[in-house]
Order: sequence, then C-alpha cells, then structure tokens
Amino acid sequence: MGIRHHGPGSARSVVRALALLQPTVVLVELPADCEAALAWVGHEQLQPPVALLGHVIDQPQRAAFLPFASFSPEWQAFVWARAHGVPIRAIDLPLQLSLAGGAADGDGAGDGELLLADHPVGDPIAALAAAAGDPDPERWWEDVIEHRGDGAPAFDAVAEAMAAVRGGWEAGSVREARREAYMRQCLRMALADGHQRIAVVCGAWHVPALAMPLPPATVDARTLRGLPKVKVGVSWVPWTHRRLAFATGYGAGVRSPGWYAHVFAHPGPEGVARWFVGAARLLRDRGLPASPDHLIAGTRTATALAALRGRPRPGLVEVLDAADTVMAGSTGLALIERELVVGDAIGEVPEGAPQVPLARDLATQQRKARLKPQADAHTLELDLRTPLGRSRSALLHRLQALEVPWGAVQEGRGSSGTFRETWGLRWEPELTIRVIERAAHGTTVQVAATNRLLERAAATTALADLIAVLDVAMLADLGAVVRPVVARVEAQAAHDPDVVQVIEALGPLARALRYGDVRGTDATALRNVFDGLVVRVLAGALMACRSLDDDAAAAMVERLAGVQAALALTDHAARRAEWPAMLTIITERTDVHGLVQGRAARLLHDGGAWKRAQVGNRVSRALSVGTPPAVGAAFVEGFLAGSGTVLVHDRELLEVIDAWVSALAPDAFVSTVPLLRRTFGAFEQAERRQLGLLLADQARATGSGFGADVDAARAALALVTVRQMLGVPQ
Amino acid sequence: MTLTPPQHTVLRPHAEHEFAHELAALAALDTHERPPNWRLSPWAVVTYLLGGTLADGTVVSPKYVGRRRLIEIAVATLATDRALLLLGVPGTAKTWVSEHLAAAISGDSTLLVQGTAGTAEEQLRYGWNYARLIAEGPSAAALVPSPIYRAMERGSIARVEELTRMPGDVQDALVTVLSEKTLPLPELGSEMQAVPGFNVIATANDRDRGVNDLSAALRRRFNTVVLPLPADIEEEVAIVQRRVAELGTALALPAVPASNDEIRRVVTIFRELRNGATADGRISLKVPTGSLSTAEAISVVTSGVALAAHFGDGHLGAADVAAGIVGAVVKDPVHDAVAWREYLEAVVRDRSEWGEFYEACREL
Repeated sequence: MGIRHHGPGSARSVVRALALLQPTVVLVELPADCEAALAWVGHEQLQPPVALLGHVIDQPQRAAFLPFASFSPEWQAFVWARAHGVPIRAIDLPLQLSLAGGAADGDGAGDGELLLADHPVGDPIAALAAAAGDPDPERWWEDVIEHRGDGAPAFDAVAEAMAAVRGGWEAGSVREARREAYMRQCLRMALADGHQRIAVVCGAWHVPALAMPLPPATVDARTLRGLPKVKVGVSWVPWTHRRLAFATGYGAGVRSPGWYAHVFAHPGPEGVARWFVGAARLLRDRGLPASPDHLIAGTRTATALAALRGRPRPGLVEVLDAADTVMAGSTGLALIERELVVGDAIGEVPEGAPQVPLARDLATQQRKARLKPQADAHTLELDLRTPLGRSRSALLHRLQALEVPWGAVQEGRGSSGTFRETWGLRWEPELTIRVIERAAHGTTVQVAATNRLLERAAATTALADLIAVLDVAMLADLGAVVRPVVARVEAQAAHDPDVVQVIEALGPLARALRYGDVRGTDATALRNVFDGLVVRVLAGALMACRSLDDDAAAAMVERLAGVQAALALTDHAARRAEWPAMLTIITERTDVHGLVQGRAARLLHDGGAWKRAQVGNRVSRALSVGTPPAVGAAFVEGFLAGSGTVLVHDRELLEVIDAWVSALAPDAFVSTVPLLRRTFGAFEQAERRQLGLLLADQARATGSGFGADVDAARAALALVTVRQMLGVPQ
Repeated sequence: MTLTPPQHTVLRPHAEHEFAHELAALAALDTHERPPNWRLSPWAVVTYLLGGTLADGTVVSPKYVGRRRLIEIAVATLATDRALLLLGVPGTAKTWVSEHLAAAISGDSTLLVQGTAGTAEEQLRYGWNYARLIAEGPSAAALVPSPIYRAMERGSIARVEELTRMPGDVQDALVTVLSEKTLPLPELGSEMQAVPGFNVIATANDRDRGVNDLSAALRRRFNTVVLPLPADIEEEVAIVQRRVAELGTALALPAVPASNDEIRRVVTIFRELRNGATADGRISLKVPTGSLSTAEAISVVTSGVALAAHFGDGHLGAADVAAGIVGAVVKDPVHDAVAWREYLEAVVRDRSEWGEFYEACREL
C-alpha cells in the first residue's frame, strides 16, 4: 500500500484495505528497532499526536523523530493490527544504522528531518500532477487520492503511477538504496516465515521497490553489509499538531494537521459544514460574532467554489477562501488558522512507556508540583511563602538550569526579588527533546541540574558567569552547587585583576543574600564571600575610577551606584564608614573623570554621608574658575544624572549652579552649553518646567511635596503602615 | 424603449455589447452546468473575466488581471445566491469587475443603482407615477420599478455602485431583498418575489471620505471580496497598456504608439508615491492625498496620448505625460504640492534616464 505520510485519505484507505485483506502480518515502513515500542500502541494513555524518538545512547542530541498523528496511515495500521491481534513488523533501516551514518555526515541534528524527508515525495507527485495538467501537486494528490479513500483500488493506482514515474526498483541515492534493501530483506523474511497475506504500509515512492517479484537477495545483502552501528534508545514522546505543521520546519510535515485530523474524523460530505460549525464555536468562545447564517453561507460558498474549480469536494483552500469572504474583516480568521487549520492538540504518553530516566523523573516532579505541561502559553503566579510555591519555583528554576525553558520569569525584580514570582509557561514538545539531551547529566532533575550547573561553573573563568550560576543555584534550591561555586567565586575574585568584574558581582550576590531567606537557603557561606568581595571593591575602586574616557566613565558611575545599592540592600557595615571615605577620595582626586567625581559626590549626598553645605562647597568648587569648563560640566552631569528633583528641592544647590552658569565667560559658555544641555535634556519635562519657574522666580519652593491641607486623620493611617514596614515602634 | 442610439455609435458600449462575440462563443462551447437563469456556467464566467483561448480558437481577452482566486470566489458567491460586495480603494476595478460579471451572468449590465448621498429608498425599491397614483390610487400600473425590482422580476443581476455613499437607512432597504429575496409592496397588499438568478453585486469603498459604514445586518448578507491594488509593477504596467489601447480605439484617437517606457514611468511614479517609498526602498516619500490608482494611471496615459496625437509629434513623450501626472498627484494644493516637489527633486532628478521628464515637470 503506497501512502503519503500523514495523509488522512491514505489512512482511511489503509484501514479499509486491511479489513478487506485480513493480512496475517503487517509490515510498516518504520525503523526496525522501533518495533518493541509498538507494543505500547493500543494503550489507552498513548494518544496521538506522539512521536517515536530514537537517540544514540551516548549522544542524546543525535536523534530522529518519527511523528504520528491520528490521521497518519502508519498509526492507523498499528491500531488496526493491534486490535486484530496481527503482528506488526517494522521494516525500515534500523536507527542503529541510519543514525550511525548521520555521524559520518556530521549532521546529527538534521537527521530527524532527513530520515523522513528523503522520499522525494514532491517530485514524483509533481511529475504525475503535471502529467494530469495540474500545477499544484499537493492539491492534485489530495483530489485524486486523499479525497477518495476507497481502499485497495486506490493503492493499485498509486503503485502503477509510481512505477511509471520511477521506472523500477533501483533507488536514487545510496541511503535510499540501503533503506529499500532492508525493507526487501524484511519482506523476504516474512515470506520465509510462511505468511500468505502480507500488508506493507510504506511511502508511495517505495512501492515499486517492494513490488513482486523481488530482485535477488544477494544484492541487498551486499548493500547492507558492513554498515556502522550505534546503540540506540527508542522512546515515545508526546508531539503536537503545531510541530507536525510544515510551518514549524520539520520535514515530511503537513501544512494543516488540524484540517487533516478533521477530514480524517469526518470524511463524509457533511465534513465541511462540521468544520464551519467548529470555526463558529471557536469564534463565539472568543466573543466574535458567528451566526448560523454565516455557517450556511460559508458552507455553500465553499461547495460552490469546489464545483467551480472542478474539485471533488471542498479542500482546505476552498474552505478558507469561503471563510475569508463570508467573514471578511473579522479578526477571527487568524484565530481559525491557528486553532483549526494547524490545531493545538498535544499527545500523551503512558507513564510506563519507554522514556529516558530524566524524563520520567521530570514527569514525577511535575505531578508532585501539580504542574501539567500545556502547549498553550499561560501564566502562573507563585507565592514563595508556601511550600507548594517554593517547590514549583524550584522545579522551574531547575529546568532553567538544565536549559529546558518551560517557563520564563515575567516580572518581579529579576531574580529572587520578592516573595512572588510570575512565570509565563509554555511546554513546547522540543522541550521534551531538550530533556532527553540533558539525560546524560543525571537521572533525576535535581542531580542533572546540579551537574549541569557545576559543569557550567567549571567551564567559565568570568566572575559574572560564576555569579549567574550561583544565582540560578540559589533560585533552584540546589544547595550542592552553592558551596563549590562560592569557593570558585572567592578564588576567582582574588585572582581577578579587574575590580570591575568584582563590582558587577556584588549586585546579584547582594540580592541573593537579602532575599535568600525567603526561600530558606543557607546563606552564611554567601555572606562570607560577599564580605570578601566588598573588601576587594573598597581596595580597588579608586584604581578602577582613574584615567577613564567618557564611555568608560559613564559605565563606571552606574557601577558605583550599584555598589551603593548592594551595600544598602545588605545593610553592610562598610556602608557607614569605609565606603563614604572611599567616595570622598574619589571625588577629590583630580585624575578621576568629572562624571565619576560628580556621581561620587551625589552618592555621598544621597547616602547622607555629606551635609548639604559640604555638597554645596564641592559642587561650587567643581564649577569655579579653577576647573576647566568641560570637567565642570561633566561633574554636573554626573551629579545630577537622571533626576532634576535634587535641584528643585535644594535651593542652595540650584543657586550654586545658577551662579556658575551666569558667571561663565562667553567663550566658556558656548563650549559648556552642549554638556549642560545633555544633562538637563534628560530631565523630565515637568522637572525642567519647575526649574525654569524657580529660576525665573515665579514660584517659591514649597520645601515639601504636600499641599497645605493634609488630612491628619488619613495621614495617620498611612503612618501606621509605614512604621510597621520599617519596624519602628508605634 | 431605449434612449440611447445603437450601441456601435455610443462613446462607451456596455460590456455585453463590446464583448458580445466572446460571450456568444463561450455560451456555445459551455458544457458545464448553469445555475437557473444564468447565461453561462460559473466556469465560463470565470474564463470570460480572466481570459483564455477556447476550444474553437476564440481568444477571450482578460478583463481582470489579478488573482484568479478572487474572481472564483466572486462567481461562486453569486452562484450560491448570496450577494457579492466588492470592496477596495478607488481604482481597483470594482465597477469594471461588477459590470463584466453582470454582463456574463445575465447578459445585461444595465440594471444599475448609483449610490450617492442623495440616493433615496425609491431608487432601491420602487417609486410611483404620481399622476396615475392620484388618478387611480395605488395599483401595479402606477408603480415605477427600480433596477433592483426589475432584476428580481427577470432573475438577473442588479448592480449597486458605491453602496457606502448612500445614507445608512437607505442602505438597509436592501436587507429584506437580500435575505428574503422578496420586496414587500404594502401599498398594494402584495409582494414582489425574486425569480431564480436574481442577485446583487455591490461595490463599495471603505476608505474614502464621505462614506457611511455598512450596518452589521447588511454586511452579514454580503460575501465580501476585497480587490487589491496590483501586486507588482509588471502587472500594473500590463493593465495600463491594455486599457490605454482599448480606450484609444473607443475614443477614436489617432494611433499613437503608447511608449512602453512612458507607461512604466507613470506606473512607477504612482506606485512609489502610493507606497511612500521608492521601489528600491531607499528613499522614503510623502504620500499624496489622492488615491493614485491604476485607473488614474490609465487616464494620465490616455490624455498623454491625446496630447501627443493632437498637439505633439505623434509619439508619446515625457512632456505629454508630465502634465497629466502633476494633475493626478497634486489634489491638495498645499500638502500634495510639497510631496510632489520633494519627489521631483529627491528622486526624479537623480535618475539619469529621466532627465527629459524632469525638465518637462519643472516647466509646468
């Protein structure tokens, strides 16, 4: 029986022909080493779309997928054979051989595609279609073969047509020759076993190669001799219609699995009407209008179009054209395309079926965490104060560590910011593949994630990468990672000549320290490392701030701000003494870029280390005659960076700057204006307006942000909360 | 009774007259099934619109150049007795397609209601001969049928042009006609029931100024086919060429070889201004307010041909099209003039082979 992979008409014909033939054995074009896995067909939890995954045991990334949908002829053949107790034999070249061949070509990843796409299905059908005068081979095949679904006669016709196109049993390529040789060997074996009625389900292209009488066996034996072998594991994995779709790039796919599934389920003429009913229900679910009148019109238009185009019955093109014209302008068309034409179905695999151990453990973990893999995107809110929230979060983060991005943290303060985490989840079947790729790292999610992180840590010498690993380890609650990585951070920080890296490591570490206890992570080791890093930063900061050009200075001011934030976050002791002292030195040194000096002064001001008068003095010094105008302007830019509020509320400071600008010589003013503009241009418009008003003396600074009529009773209520938050006694 | 002289003397003959031989040849060879009261089968209608060569060697000229799919949908819609709405920006051949569809299906493209802001319900339903109405009271004889009424009576295609220009309440007079295929005549206590073959082709323009949106009820009764602007420059050049040649014959202009280069230039300019960017995508342009449709390109070239024939050297040259182009582009004296000047200076001047055209435009 020559079929087209994933052809619904072929599938129906196969079932009908099998019922008619009552074969004693069914041979299917499927790698022979998948045969054992077929025992699972018929298990009620094995629901298509599913795929057989064959992977090389030691190199799980070299794998091949054989997807089946309910409308795949092969799947129907399995189901029929299982139901009638007829043995199934897989007769294609075993994966042991074909995957080994892939290694020689060096394209393990592409193998899955090759394995299925190497039938040049397009070409013979195109040749036939052209002979029949139809420019579109897909449509022609659909009209002539798929829409008939009348069993054995169709297969005879297909066999004849293919024989005409191919002209004999000789194969086109070496690979094809091997596969067909193997198929023939299996066929001979089935004959030798005394089977009288043998059904072979294979791609139409291979039919002539298997036609009786078979060529001499010795030729095939020679073809197959001496091929390299690898050890292959075969397992069932769930698949989706979306993955089946052509659009997502796998070969031998179909453009419209949803439509095919529909056609397979409803072969009769009422199928079109049913499809429109499905479409209308979908649209109504999403709150879009779809009246029965639309359905009637759509069905009639589709039928009329099919008649006009001389097709036996409306195909997908007619149905979509009809939907397009009846519901023109509706936003629902894209929805129909996504949900009905391609479809969202996702397969299921029974728990006991052959799976890689890691995948099995993942399934257990998912059940424990009560998280079900779903193909459509959805969000999940986790409350990290509850054990369930924590365990879910840990599982998701562990998968992140394994580079299996089931979900992505959507908001919150980046990492372990608050007790709430929002995840965007979407389980793509590719993730199943990633899980299998990671199988080499361990047999459980925890062990594999730990090993993967340790591997990453060992591979890097960059402090930032180590910190990132540490961050993930904390989030994923992988205690075994923390200690060795912390040790590496310590060692690396000691050897790292670049204090910048150390500074950048402070931020994530501080967050981990501050919020780690939300998750109950042990943080003492971390605290020690953090203290060690702070010492290094204090020692190296001045060096890092010297002799910088404009760009480097701009990056450095952000780092300084980061250090201050990290110290504040952890309420580190250095924040009160050593760090302000350090900043003071920075702001006084003449070999430090004006921008950095300015920001250091600002940090001192913000941190409350400097009194207002002190700040004013420093700013005024920067803006006085002795300082080159460019340095002065850079200082102002650094000092005011990002916000004009400080000026709005600090008259003294404003006056200092105002006086400096007014006192500039014309030449100096011209050269300073661009720099000043850069600073002031970055302010909010409202801030600029306020500043303008202040300078024009039209408004007196109110000194505080409140109006005159504060409602004392209501303010008191807010104060209670603020006190509670700050831990101040009432 | 007809008020017009015999068809061969009129300025622009109806489609069913101009292409009578093609329709006859199609009808003779048409073996496909015909819906009731259709002159041709849907298959033959599609062939008539898209062109082709028949079994007996008759060449059917293409009336619509564009995607086959659209015409197929349009014809299939009419075959299902659902009304057809042709939607599109001005100059996308909506009226043209509607006329030829009516001519091919009913052999009569004259049952036409032209929608304007002043169109009243009587023009869609029926009016009264008031002298008779007063003398005899309401009677079938006093009733003045509208084109739609007559189409229902005969089972042919009625056309409604510029549906969206009618006031909304007048548009809705069509709802009963389209859904029930019945026109109630309360004054006579009876109704007019449509004969099979009756259908309505409406054209509308959803982006112009001064249009009234269709009500949801009416919209639901139409299958909509959106006619796009020509997809690529070759298609558009081909359309302009063919129409210019046809018009030249109809208007009895002296034969002027319509230079392919000039047509290509006009189409290029229109496309670039319409898309707001040059064909190579390197320069962005201001988009003028006019629609700059293919129809306008055709009229620019035709008037250029007339200029060349009567006042020029008998060859369509840059100067002949320049005047027409400026007139077509500059619809708004302020904004469009700026857009055109920018285009002239930024794009036209730098194209080496367009020097003559540039000079001609500058002189205007």
